[in-house]
Order: sequence, then structure tokens, then C-alpha cells
Amino acid sequence: MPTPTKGPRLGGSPAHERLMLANLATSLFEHGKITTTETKAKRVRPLAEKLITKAKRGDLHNRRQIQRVIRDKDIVHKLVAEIGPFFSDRNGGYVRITKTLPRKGDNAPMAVIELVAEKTVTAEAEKARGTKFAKDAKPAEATEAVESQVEAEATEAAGETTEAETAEAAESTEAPFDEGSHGPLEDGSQPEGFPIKGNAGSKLYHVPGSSHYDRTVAEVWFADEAAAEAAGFQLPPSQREKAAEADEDAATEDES
Amino acid sequence: MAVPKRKMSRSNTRSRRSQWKASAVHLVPCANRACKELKPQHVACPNCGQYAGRQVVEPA
Repeated sequence: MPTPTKGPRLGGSPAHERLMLANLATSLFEHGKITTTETKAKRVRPLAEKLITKAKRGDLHNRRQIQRVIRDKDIVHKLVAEIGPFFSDRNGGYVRITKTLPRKGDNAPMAVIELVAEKTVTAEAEKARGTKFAKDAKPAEATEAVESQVEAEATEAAGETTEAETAEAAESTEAPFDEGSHGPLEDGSQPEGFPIKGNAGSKLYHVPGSSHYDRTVAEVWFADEAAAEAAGFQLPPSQREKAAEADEDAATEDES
Repeated sequence: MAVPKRKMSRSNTRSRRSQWKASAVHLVPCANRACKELKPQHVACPNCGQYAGRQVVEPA
């Protein structure tokens, strides 16, 4: 048996409290978010959640049960047709109370009470299943990517060794990867015409003026970004988005 | 009805009232890193309007 509410009613009498809570619940369902005192918010939350539970069933009996509290038929329709189905994947906890600063004038503690607009994490995960970001599809893609990368590295390594051999035979500062690359000079300075630094360990390249450029010790130099990309090097993760945007901008300009 | 026999002295009145003290409101910095304004705990930030990473109220 539910514990009876003890102490004085809101507004003085039981009838007044019922009316106030019904009006608060109606406003909550109409606007989705209302500001009221903390006490009223705490008292309206169980009522609103029970109404939503009834709305999720949505049959005639439950609709009549809702109508005993909410007298506005438009709101009842919205509750059954929109709010109930929206919460179909959520088992309770439909309403959130957040405290705000006390009210000016009487310093009453105030709160914002709102319908939870977010979907649950499990619902999001269910939705994501079957898309290209799905967990099941990932391993295949990943292995493919790894394989391709391995192949690329193998070919590169082969190229490197052969080139390295020839380079050693000729001169140690010749191109270690492909065209447009240059080995490091003995004094660490920039070879002429190869401004881009490459870090062979992390497979990242740094363009002049970027944040890590000065800090990077170049193990290989590239003539331009395309040459670096061709050798399997990437921009640092922090700069990839910018570069992508720049590329898109360039593409749109080309189209226009 | 009980009534006071003697006038309460100024000294006694003031001694009693000397114990009325106000305490400072406990404030914490806002969890929003862009804001960091001091606010009461467990309350949506009055400066940026956020609480637990959600926009709850319009900032003042």
C-alpha cells in the first residue's frame, strides 16, 4: 500500500492540491519544460510519470484515466500520440528536475522540471546497429584497412630498402621514400625545396607553421603535402579536420 | 497569561542578539570550463545556464 502523504497539502486543502498538481502536469505536457518551486516540482513528478506510463499503454481505459487528471483534451491527445510513444524505450525516469537559483522576492527554492528529451544509450546503440558505424561491420573493415596498410608498408619497406641500398651506395641524403622526399641532412637543417617535416616513427608529417613543426626532428623531408600523403604519411590528428575543411572549401570553389 | 515581571535590560537584549550570525553561502566553480563562475552547489549555473553539461535555463 502506498504511504500516505503526510503533513500539510500544497495550497491548503486536498482539493486545492489536486487541482494545482493537475494544472502543473498539464503545463508540463503542453510546454515540455516549466519553472516552478522545488516543492511543487517534487510533488508533480510522480503524478506526471504515472500519466506518461498510462499514455504508453494508450488504450481507451488508460485515456479515461488520464482524463481524470488532465481536463484539456488537446493535451491528452498530445500525451497519448506523441509523448507516450517517444518514451517507449525508456522504463521510467521520464521527467527531470534541475534546481535553479531561489526566487527573488520570497527566496523560494526554484527548479526547472522538464520531459527528458534525450534517447537512452541502449536505444541509440540499437539504432546504430546496421549502419556503417555498427560494431559487427567494423572488424572486417579494420582488418581490410590493416591488410592494405601492411601491404603498403611492405611495398614501401621494400622500396625503402632497395632505395636505401642505392642511396647508401650513392649518398645517404637521397630520397628515402618516393619522389618529392629527401633524407635528413647531417646538420638537421632543411634541404632546399623540401619544407615539410616527416616523422617516420609516427607516420605524421608537419607543414611549416603548424604547432608541432618546430618541435619535430625531421627524419624525412617532403617537397609538398601530396608527396607526403603518397608516402603514407598523415597530418597530425589535431589538424586533420582543418585540412578537410580547407579541402572542401577548395572543392566548392573549384565547382563554382 | 504570563507576563514579564521586569524590563529586559539593554545589555541582556544585546548579549542575546550577539549570537545571531550569518553564515557564508557555500559556492563552487561552475563545471562548465568556459564559465567557471562561482555558484551554489547542485544548482544550474546562473551565469551560463548549464547543469551537468546540459543547457537548463537561459543565461541571465
